Amino acid sequence: MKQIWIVLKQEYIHRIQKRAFIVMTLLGPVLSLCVLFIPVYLSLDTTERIHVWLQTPDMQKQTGNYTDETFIFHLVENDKKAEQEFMQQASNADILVSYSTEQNSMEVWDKKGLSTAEQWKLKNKLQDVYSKQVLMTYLPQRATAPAMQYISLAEKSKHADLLQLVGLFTAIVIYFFIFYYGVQVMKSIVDEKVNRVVEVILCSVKPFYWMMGKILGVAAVCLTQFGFWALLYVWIGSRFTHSYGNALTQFDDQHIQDTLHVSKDAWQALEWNVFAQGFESLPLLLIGISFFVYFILGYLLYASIFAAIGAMTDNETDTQQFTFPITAPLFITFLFAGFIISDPYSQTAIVLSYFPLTSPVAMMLRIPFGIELWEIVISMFLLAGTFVLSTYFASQVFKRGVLQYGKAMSWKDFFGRNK
Amino acid sequence: MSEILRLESVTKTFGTHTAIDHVSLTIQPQSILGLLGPNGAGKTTLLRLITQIVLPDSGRIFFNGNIIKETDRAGMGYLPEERGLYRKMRVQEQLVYFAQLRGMSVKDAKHSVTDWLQRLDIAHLQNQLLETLSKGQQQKVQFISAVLHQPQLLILDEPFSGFDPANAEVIKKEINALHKAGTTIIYSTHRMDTVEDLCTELILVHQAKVVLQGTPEKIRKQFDRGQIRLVYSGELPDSFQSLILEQKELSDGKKSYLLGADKNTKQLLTLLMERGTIHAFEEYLPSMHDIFLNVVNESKS
Repeated sequence: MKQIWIVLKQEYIHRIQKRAFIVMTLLGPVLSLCVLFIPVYLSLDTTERIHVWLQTPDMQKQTGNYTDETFIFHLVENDKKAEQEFMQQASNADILVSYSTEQNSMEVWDKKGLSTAEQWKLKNKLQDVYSKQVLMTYLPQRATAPAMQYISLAEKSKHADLLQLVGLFTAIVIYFFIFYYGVQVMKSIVDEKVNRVVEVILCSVKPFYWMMGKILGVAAVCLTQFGFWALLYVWIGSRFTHSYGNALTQFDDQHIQDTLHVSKDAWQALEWNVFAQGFESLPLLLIGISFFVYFILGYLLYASIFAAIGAMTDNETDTQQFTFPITAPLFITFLFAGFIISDPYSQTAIVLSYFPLTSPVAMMLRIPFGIELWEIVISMFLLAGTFVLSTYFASQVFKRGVLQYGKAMSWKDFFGRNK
Repeated sequence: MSEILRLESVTKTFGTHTAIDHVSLTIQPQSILGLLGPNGAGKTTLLRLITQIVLPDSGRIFFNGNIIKETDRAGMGYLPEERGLYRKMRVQEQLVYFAQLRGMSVKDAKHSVTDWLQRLDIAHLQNQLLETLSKGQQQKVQFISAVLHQPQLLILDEPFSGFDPANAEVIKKEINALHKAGTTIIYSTHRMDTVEDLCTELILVHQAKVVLQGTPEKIRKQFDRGQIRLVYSGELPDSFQSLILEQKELSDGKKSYLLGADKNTKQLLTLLMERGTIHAFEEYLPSMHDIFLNVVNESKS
């Protein structure tokens, strides 16, 4: 056992001195921000415009064009028929705006589930359209902004975007690190085979100890990296709090409303409020702990498989053809990611989040939506059990295969008696 | 059970190729065993089996009288034929690492490493990266990695390859010193000259089998054909012509002959003394080199 520790220490010290480690550690936060914001940016740049039905008093004659880059306005009759049509699935309308002349109020019915930014833009536009153009022209006595009530009919909560984002982010980070560090373990083993140190090592160390030392050494490197980032986060957080108060403090709603009259950019403050609310409602502790456990177990599972591949091959070129097939389960989970986050309780999502080779990614996608604790625990146990099995498998490969140059491992070798 | 190592009918195959075929042998403590054999005979596999880097398909290996265990590795030192060190690591650092893996404490390891670096005259290189060293210096580092934990059994695969004659002499001296200090040594080699003055015991492996075993003296006696080496100036009597196996011109009109066995040595000498001058007349035992070639060629034909 002491030998595991010696190999671990050696692997660790050797790796953290490498330039690649330092670069990765420093660039990691930048990369992760990219991973986080590129999809958000892309999703903002949606070309699909929103259809808004306006029920307006006596609007038949109105031909003004209110359509802009986000909305297409359609003028419809102010009657029950239009409302019924709106409620039908087949109608192309996303939003119905009904106006009551008597109360100078309007109701905005949202079938689509607009994002906060879109909501604000719409409200702004409507106020503009109604108060400045429609009402001024036809009902000058009503030319004050009407009271507005926003009613969302969409099932999707307004935090859904955030939940999906958190799920995707943690899953991508887990996938990336399992892949990156798993390959490091394999490379390290193949390197020592190529430069022949392996013979010197193996005449003094049990192959299993050597393998575990490497796997755990690389894990320690990875944890160091995470630790550094966590400290960085805490430090930046504390600086931020120091300068701006609690990062999650929400902006004053009244203040936003006031500012909105001056600057349209204030909708970002509104967006932040929704984000902050959503963030506070997230099971952050659960996500954090799950992330940690799934990462560690997932890494151990995959690293032991990678190590076995390293033990079976003689050179780096050979290992490359195995790299993709090994991580295929994780990758395939990503193909299902859109499906999982749109319906986290579907059968596929549940199966993928229990199956050990896919659970680290699949479960992280689901957790932000609120998953029963026992589900997570079962999935973790399955993962841990599989890790034990895969390590046993890898140790057998090591014992029998690590120096069998030129001879393919046979099942007989694998299950054969040791001595 | 005084022997340090015993192999009982050990077999190892790689695919369809049999590398070691029912090999049995014993090694006495404090002997120096030379392992000879042509390329591909199975020498390296045999050494890897002893170091437990590969496991036998069948047969048993005993170390100090008990079936060999993984913990027995600590009692062995191994210098592999295909040398392997960390190119990007400093000399002292990697030697200390290897020593630790063999169960030494950091303090003892450092002490032993410093000691050995001095003994082999490369102490000034201890903080250099291995890749900056010459090949001979790297070989010395590799040698140290095999001996620094004072193993009971030292296994050397081609220990002299890569050394110039002067450095080979240094290594030979160290091997002798370790032997005197009580270490049992197994080494494989192609160099017959080192075999005869280092080994106390020889094994010739050919085509996965042990074909010869014994002390160098015994093996050479076994191949003794009663031949005579003669250095002579003058005409050889006619009756000698049938005995000549080899002849060579030397300087000053001297000739060197290898003569076949003849029962009547006394008569031979008398004849020779009458005709010319005898410079040398001695019993000729075949060299290990000749025996080696003899055995290998015999099995070919």
